Amino acid sequence: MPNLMEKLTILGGAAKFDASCASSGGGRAGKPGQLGNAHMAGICHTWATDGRCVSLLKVLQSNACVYDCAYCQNRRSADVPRATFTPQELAALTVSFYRRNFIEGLFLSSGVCKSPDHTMEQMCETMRLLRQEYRFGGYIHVKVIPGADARLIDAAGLLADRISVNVELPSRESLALLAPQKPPEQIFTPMHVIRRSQTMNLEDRRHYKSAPLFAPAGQATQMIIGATPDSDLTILRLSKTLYRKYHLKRVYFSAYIPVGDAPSLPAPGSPIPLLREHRLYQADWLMRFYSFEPEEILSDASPLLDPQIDPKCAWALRHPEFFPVEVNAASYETLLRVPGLGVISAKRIIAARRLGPIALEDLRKLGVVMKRASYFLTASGKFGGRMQPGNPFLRHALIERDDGAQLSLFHPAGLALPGAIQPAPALA
Amino acid sequence: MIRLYDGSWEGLLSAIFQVFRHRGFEDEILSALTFPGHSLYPVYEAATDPEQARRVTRGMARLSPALPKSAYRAFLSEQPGMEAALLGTLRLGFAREQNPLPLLGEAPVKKLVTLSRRVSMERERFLGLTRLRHVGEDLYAADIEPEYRILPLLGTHFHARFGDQRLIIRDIRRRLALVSTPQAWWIAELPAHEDLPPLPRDLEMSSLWRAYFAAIANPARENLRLQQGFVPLRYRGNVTEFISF
Repeated sequence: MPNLMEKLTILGGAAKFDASCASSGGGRAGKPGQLGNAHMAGICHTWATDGRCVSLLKVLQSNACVYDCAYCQNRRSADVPRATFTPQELAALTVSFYRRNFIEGLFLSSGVCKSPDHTMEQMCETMRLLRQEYRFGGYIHVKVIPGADARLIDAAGLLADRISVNVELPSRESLALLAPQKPPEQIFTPMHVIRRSQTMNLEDRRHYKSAPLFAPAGQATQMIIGATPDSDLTILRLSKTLYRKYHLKRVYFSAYIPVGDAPSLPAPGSPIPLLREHRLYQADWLMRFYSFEPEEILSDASPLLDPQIDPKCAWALRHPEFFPVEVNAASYETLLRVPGLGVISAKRIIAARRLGPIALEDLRKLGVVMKRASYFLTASGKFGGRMQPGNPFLRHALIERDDGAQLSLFHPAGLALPGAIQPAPALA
Repeated sequence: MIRLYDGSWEGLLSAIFQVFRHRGFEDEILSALTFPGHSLYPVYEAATDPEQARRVTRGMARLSPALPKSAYRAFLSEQPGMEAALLGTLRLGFAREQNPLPLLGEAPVKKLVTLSRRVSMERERFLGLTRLRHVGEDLYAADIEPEYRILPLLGTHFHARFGDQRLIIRDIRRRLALVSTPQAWWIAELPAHEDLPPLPRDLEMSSLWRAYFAAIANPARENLRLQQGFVPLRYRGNVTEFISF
């Protein structure tokens, strides 16, 4: 029987493949004299060796699993040490860490121990102890086990801030092939249940002021990238549908780290598609904040994201007729289309231009990345780029080079992945 | 003319009031704490007056609700040139009777906003990086070594979050301590020239946290330079998972 430290090592390590670790979206005020509140924007408490932020205690309730999903490190047929937290010890550990300001709260997922319902019951008991016995007011993100009863999902939503169901793979065919014990209905039904509970809860709160909150930080999900041959366009279309249909807050992408020797999966030792994951996050941001549609970013003819250039620049290169944009006159949505000009810079430009016309020299001070943007905009009629939009050499000027490397979540070697992604055909 | 203020926020605001009152268009404001002691320009001491300070704050709030907060945070940065940036920004703002903050093309505004942002970002970082250790009963303590004087900005958050605990957070370099009890929080001064007693090790929980931190490492995605960008080496001395004992 492993001791607490061994359990924490096993179950913390097993949970690291769940990419989501945000502690944002829940602004719980905290009661005077009681422990815990939730910071609306989330707080990063530390950063792991791969550079990603750690803000929650991310663990599995148990990594014993009766399923045998081919892509998972904890699948039944894998030979890994198994452990299970009791709800009491996990709740106590969470509170001890929280009191020392190590974490914002708990991220609780699990392998399927005995059955989905039994696992969800254990997880709900952990959360109940936290909320009711310890009066814990911090952040909780719970993963729903596919196949669990709707009443358990409801119970979980009333205890947690954020709730998710992992989509895992981007198409029904892949799911059927690699996770045959998780039929798509078992994944999409909980998402539907959660969405319905959220709507009903909103109604309740309109009528009863003290109705409890159901998952105030919303619903999220995660997809594994690179385990199957699905294209980026498929992935983006699925994300868009999920955002629209289930009102998700976030879709997370997790680069597949090869395990096992299932013939339909990349072999262990193949390169990990980190750059592709990065491009997908950039495309996801374009869809959520910059009003892009998946069909604008990619097309059936070129369904993969360009590894050499970010999707926004790629779009700008394909549409030279849209540029140059005059910063003193353009609308917010139009400004957002300029490479190097993001949401913050666009808002600053709009605030500043009310007080007077903006000159080219001021743009850098407003946060615009002139290295990219100078080719696509004018300020008071003045153009600062070394060449016009539409020039065939513009693409070369915009490509990020390794020597002046921007720091990113990727090992420099990861940028030169030979076989993992096909570069998009050169577009004039 | 140079006006010296006593180094406090109210003192700075009083000096600003006096500059505007006496139409000192060429005046410069400097802190008495860092003033070299001699200058070719005439030097006056600006007396601290809470009523003058209040009037300046009201004037700033009239220009923009964000201005008093940005100005205070820039003040906490304790950087040279901060007073000049604030004075320049206010001169621009009061001359036009308009919020000067969006005018990032103007050098004093840009500097003020940059300093304010740096202080805000360090505060955000320390909301996360402060590591409390259990001293006894309901008392927890932490040490931090921030670049800027962010301790007053941490009080509200820690007081609200740890409502049933007593806390002491020590800024070792500045010899200040944030003290929080369930009833209230305040800033206290620590003795300047003695060695501060070290914090207890809190070994059990520290070891568990370190074990967790080691377990979540993903060697396939290692990127230590990126990690260093978020947790600079200078902060790591007080962060449990980066020290060993």
